[in-house]
Amino acid sequence: MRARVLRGGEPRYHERNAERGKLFARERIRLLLDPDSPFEEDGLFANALDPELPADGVVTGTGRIHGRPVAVMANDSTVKAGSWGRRTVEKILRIQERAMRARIPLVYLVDSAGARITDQVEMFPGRRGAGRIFFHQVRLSGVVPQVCLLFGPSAAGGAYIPAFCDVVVMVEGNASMYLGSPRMAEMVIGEKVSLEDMGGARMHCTVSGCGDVLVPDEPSAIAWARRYLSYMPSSCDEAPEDRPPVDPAPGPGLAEVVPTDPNRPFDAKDAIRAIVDEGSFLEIKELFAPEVVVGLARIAGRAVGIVANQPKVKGGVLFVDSADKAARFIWLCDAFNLPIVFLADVPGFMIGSKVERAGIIRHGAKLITAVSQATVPKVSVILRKAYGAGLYAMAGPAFDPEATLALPTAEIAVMGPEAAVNAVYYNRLAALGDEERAAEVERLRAEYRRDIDVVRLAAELVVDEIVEPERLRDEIARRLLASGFRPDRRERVQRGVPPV
Amino acid sequence: MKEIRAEMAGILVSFAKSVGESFEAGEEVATFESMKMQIPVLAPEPGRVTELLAEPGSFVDEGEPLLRYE
Repeated sequence: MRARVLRGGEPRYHERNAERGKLFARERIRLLLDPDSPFEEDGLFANALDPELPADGVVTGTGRIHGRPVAVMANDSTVKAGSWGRRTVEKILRIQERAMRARIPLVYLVDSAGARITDQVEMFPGRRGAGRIFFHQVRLSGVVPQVCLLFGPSAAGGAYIPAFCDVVVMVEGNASMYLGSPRMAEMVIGEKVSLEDMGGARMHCTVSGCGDVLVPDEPSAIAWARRYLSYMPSSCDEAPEDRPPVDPAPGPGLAEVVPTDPNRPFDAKDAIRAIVDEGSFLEIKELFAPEVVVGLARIAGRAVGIVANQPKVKGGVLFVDSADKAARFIWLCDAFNLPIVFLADVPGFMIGSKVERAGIIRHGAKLITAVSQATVPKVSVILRKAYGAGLYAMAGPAFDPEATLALPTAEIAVMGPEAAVNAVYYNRLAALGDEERAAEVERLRAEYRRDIDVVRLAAELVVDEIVEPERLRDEIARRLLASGFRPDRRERVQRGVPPV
Repeated sequence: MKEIRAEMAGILVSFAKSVGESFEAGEEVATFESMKMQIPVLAPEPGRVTELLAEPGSFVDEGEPLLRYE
């Protein structure tokens, strides 16, 4: 009987999955865990009296990743499309409880059509029903890392498993998530839409922000999860493990990457590459709100979070989605003892009626809340400019950074010279003739620039240190070391990593 | 017929391509200015301009069309 259960569902379901590049759940687990790691399974005999429901369609247990214990849940889509019955839910609840007691990460390998509607009374509404899974996830949030690998559907209520995880990796073409299927949408609201458009992986990773990483196939998803966990501690009680320091990748240094002209685009990822250990940058939400870049990296071997404005997308201006993206990432780093390095080149938050109506003020406030709440070490670097609330969003001086560092050409101001002169001197300038006005505008702008010169800012102790581009990486590393940060001795509010 | 739209509110400074001209994916087809920043407008895929839909020097809101292409 054990052998029969271990085989999962009928061969034809395995074949159908294989045609779509979908692996058997137990194979996914085998690839996820270390090659020499045993998999200690629980609940193998769930629903064993029913020959059609081996393990009740889910595999749960523990094993090791990078030598450290983790808990795993994997839907088996060869068994009634991975749907949830009462015992499926109970097994998931128990592996979550195990992870909570042992303070170890949880990896959810999701591939499920959702609830078995025929069993709904026993698995949906009750105290040990599906809602309890999400209750557990929220209680686990920020206590242990929770990673979701989405290999297939995660429909209706099941969509909340990815929603409460810290990161969601989606396999393009196979992964999907939606509260209501296209079939249901047509019947209940009259909408006709394809599965991809409704809840496909690419849509979620680019438009909705429900997906963090888009990958082409299952082995890539599994490799990404393993890599991600190498930056994370096992729980919020510990700091991430250090690695030996590695120099940044060879290539253009910061002096070459950051233009002196404040209005020309550059690629923030080139700046990141010039600062972090070679090959260490692991981007999160690459395709969503690309005007801000977030991800994990190492600086001199130490795991950190990076938040960087991306000038080559929308001028690096902060929008509703970028505020949400950065806020959540900051909460993630704060939960798991990852210092955060802010690389600022930000003209500010977007203005205009469209974004006002979209609530940019409250989304920006959300980001500034996250910056204020974070008690991990923060290092704020002004690469080029930081105007207005953009300075606050990037952990400016008032937000308790270890240090505010600035390159020699940096600018910090309420707004840029053009907008400022226009605001303050509008009437005076309007009274002048065209040629006189142009000259006066230039004079006033130059005067403004002198006023906000970085040396003046350092003289006022607004900026803690002016750093030549070639020295910036070492200066950041030094500040992180000097922080004396200890996970067991910090002020912290347990808030998890809330969905935004 | 597809459209390239403004990704943020701002001013269309100039078009880099005229009607009938082709472009590659990732090529700059127009220059936009917003928040005092120069924003290159890049083509999402290769194509050929069939119509210019905005006036250089004028305000274009987020989501409004800049040009049509095939």
